[in-house]
Amino acid sequence: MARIGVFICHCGENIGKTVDCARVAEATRRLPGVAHAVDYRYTCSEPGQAQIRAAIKEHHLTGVVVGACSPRMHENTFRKACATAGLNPYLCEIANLREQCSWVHSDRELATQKAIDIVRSVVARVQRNTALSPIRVPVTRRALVIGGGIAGIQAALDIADGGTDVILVERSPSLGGHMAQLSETFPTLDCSQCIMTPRMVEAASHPRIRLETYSEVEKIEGYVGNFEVTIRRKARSVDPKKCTGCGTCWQKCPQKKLASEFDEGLGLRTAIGIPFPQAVPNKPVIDRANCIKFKTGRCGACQKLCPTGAVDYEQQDETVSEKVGAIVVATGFQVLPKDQLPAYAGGQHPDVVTGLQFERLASASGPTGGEIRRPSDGKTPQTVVFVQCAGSRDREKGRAYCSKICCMYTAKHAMLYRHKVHGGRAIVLCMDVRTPGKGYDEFYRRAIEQDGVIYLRSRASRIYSENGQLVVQAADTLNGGERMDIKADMVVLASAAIPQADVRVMAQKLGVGYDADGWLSEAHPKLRPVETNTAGIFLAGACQGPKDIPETVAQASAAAAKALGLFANSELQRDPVVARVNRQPPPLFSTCIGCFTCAAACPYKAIEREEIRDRQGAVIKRVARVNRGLCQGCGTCVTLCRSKSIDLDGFTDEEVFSALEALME
Amino acid sequence: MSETQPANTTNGFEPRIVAFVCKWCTYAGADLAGTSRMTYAPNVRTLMLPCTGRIDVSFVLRAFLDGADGVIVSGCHPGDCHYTAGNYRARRRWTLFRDLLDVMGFDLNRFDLAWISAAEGTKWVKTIQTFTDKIKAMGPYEPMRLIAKIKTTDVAPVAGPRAFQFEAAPAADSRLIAAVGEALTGGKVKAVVGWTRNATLSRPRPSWILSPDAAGELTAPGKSGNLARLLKNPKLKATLPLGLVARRSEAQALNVLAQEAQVDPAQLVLFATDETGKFLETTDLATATTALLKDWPADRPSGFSDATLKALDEFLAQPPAERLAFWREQSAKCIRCYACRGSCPLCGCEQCFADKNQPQWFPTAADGPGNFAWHVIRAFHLAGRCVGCGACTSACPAGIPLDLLNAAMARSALKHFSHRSGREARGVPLQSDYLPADQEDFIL
Repeated sequence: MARIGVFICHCGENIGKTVDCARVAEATRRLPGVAHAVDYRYTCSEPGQAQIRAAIKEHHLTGVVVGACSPRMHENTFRKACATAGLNPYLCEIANLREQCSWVHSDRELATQKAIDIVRSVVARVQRNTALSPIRVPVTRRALVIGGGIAGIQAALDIADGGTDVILVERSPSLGGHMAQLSETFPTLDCSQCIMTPRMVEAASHPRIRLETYSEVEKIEGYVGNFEVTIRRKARSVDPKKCTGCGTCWQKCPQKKLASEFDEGLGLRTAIGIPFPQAVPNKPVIDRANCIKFKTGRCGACQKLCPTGAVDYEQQDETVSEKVGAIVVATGFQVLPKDQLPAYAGGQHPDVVTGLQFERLASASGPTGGEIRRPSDGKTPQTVVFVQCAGSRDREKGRAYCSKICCMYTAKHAMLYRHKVHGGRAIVLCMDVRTPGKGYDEFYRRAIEQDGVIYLRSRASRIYSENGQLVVQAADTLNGGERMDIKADMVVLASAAIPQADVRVMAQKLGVGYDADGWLSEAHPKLRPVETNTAGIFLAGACQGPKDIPETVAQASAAAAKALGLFANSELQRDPVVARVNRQPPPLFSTCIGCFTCAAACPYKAIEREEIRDRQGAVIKRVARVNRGLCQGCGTCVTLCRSKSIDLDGFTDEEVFSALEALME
Repeated sequence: MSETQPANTTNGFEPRIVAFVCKWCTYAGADLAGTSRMTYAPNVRTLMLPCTGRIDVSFVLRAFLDGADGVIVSGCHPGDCHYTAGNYRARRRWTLFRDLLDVMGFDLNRFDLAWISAAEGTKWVKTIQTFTDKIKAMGPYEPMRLIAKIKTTDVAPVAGPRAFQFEAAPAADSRLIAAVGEALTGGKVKAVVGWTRNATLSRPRPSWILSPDAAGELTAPGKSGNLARLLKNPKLKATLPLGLVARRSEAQALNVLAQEAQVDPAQLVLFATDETGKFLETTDLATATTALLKDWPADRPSGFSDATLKALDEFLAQPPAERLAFWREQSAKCIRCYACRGSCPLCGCEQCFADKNQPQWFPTAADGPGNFAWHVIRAFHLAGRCVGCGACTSACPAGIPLDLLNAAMARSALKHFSHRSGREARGVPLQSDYLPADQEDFIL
């Protein structure tokens, strides 16, 4: 038999003025299962709590109901008081008599009647409550960072500096990402490589960071604190232990005419080599698809000439499995390919370049040594037209969002061009200019006022070539949309930042959400911007949406702080309000029939398929199982379950139905 | 009190209103109303749940049956859900459930839904006050009280046994017999589900055969029933690969079962036939589905005949009170034999919610309000799944037109979500899924 103790708080006058607390206690005392019911002036005060503790012991209470303020105020206080007296805290429930009764009603009789109803309902509910204990999840103190751009490097360094080991996975042969490709950075115009390469070296030499370059995350299993990650190390064809990075192989490689990805196709590279001179690690890989040895079987120059015998044509991919406790996703973005902009020459004209290509043209380490020369004939362009919003803010073409970084980098490009080509004309075609940020608007004004960049408020509609002359056709939106035809020697497109091509595959591996455009989804747009809906997986940088470097670094540090916060404890304690699938004795095993309607709806991928097997290992039944590490306790699954095989601890059907029934008595 | 005032707006009537709210938005919004010392009518009794995703339709039904005059459900605005999308899935559920309540003859004015955020204390107050005033003006929900008082003894028992079909069932299409025999001989399938002669009634009955010799026993399809229901038998389910003689309704049911992981389409061989049993081809589920559904009009819900849809239209033309009275009468007739459940290919739970007694959702034995609730929840469990085979209606010994409810749900799924069940073996179940753009014009 239940022995429930009921404590009705007057909250001074707050409840007592409108609700007759003594009458509520009196009416409650007569309810079945109630062993003790009192009213008191301030139940949350120390004497009030002492009263609860004493009553638990004296009356051997099996449950406590406190009629007081909202559970959002003092549920914790009262549950802790119960726990001190040896009663499971989840056997204590709050009846909200203040915020949702005394404060909002004035009729004393009706308010008192309502208070009695509320308390009766909670008393009925608490009799059905079960004792719960916090879920304890052990934590592996080690992090995985996916992506070796500035976001990944920053997150890895911060976590490592915080004293936790990090595995940093990068799929290309070198760290660096897009930032390593940039010439200068806004709003200071300092050289990107000058600030980036030291960070790359720092990451590579950090005793707590293990680099896995030219590697990809193949599989992720487990849950917060306990992820099991499979990493595929792609065959470099070079033994990194033997290689000293002397460079003999790539100097002697006969296949020299390959388009360099790092130079965005504007420069050339060899089949064996490093992507750029400051690459970290400074160890080459063989591009097997283009290597003469791999294609024809002849050549082998690099192997013959390697002074340390590091070249190994037989090397195979290998996979390693690692346990980590937290994951930072920093997989970055890509730039909208030119062929997706048919109106802007669709990639058919060499002198229409993307912003990223312009970075390489302006970079001192780029294919032109930093001189602005157009790709078609190497001449210095005298008029350069910069087209903003190439693919962004265009609902018709499917990308309604603003890519955010383009206004600033276009101003930077135009400035760099004016610095390098003194007589040149820099014309920017823009819908409008958005430059919020510290020192940003000043930077943009400087482009106009000091460097003479011409901004035309307009919308470029077409880029075409006429008798060898590039022409940008645009509508002058300040002048009734009048047509302008601007002759240009080169056009730079501020191409939209778009998600990585394989972002969905990555998101599915991770079990995190992504939006309609393909950006990874944060857990809450305002309050949890670096967490994902999967506990223990955090986001950093442009994989979550277009971002500039300062924002990326800030988010990476935030993600690192979240990961370090997780690692601060040897085990996690989680609220035990999670779902559970029932278990029955054989032959039923569970009333679950494995339709997985629940799994299809779970926002946290917390519902797994479990195979119940006989002793011979044959599958008898497939049922759902809740991963208590992942479940957040929303209860969507419970509602969808037709056989009512899944229930939510703390909000079971039994609890809700008893509360409802008692309310309607 | 003026004499012209209707009796139900007397001052004496204090409606009983139950609000089911989510913890993160609406409950916090209601707290805010308190903290801001706003005032509203004291009739509402609030039950807090973690998310609108947790608010079961049976909570609402139970509240009405237990005497609520009005029910309100409220949670976070779209996009604000603490759990990302619980409210989106809830919205889909309420769209379907409201349509079901409508066909059952509920007064939808007594059931409101609202998005109220933690900052909208004012909206909470306004919503509750407006709703209370509205219900006060409407008076007690008397028709629902009558539901609660249904007595199964009020109605005369169903007249006589239904006419049995005594004429012998004609043999199956010889090409079907040959195809089934061949598949069993060659080991392509281990068993075949089809129609065979019923030893006592001559009527074709669903059964399965294991040997090629038995193929000759196959008959033309019965007038009602769905062969896919035999897949509820775990032994048969484990006899793979499995062949099934399949008309359109069987193929559709198999697709739903495949979508719900009850059967692996790769392990099925279909002997597709037309509605009369004329053999078409031996094929896989996807091909059979395409072939059997190719002439199905895009604007008609899955599986339902014109006659059923017309009957539904006529039924909906009646005023709600008469609809409710109709179902009250039907509920009194129901003897809870669960023939509807047994004959349905998709009612496959090993333990039905109706058999669960902790908590006892609704009385298990034949009982007025329990019967009523059974038919509401049964239809709702089939919403977005029912393929309109009509087996339940044919099986019902009390002659309850269950297909009216099923057709209403299928039409609702098609109208609001462009969903037609049983068309493919893959995809997310209708109620598990959502689109941010799902309609919500009924939500305050």
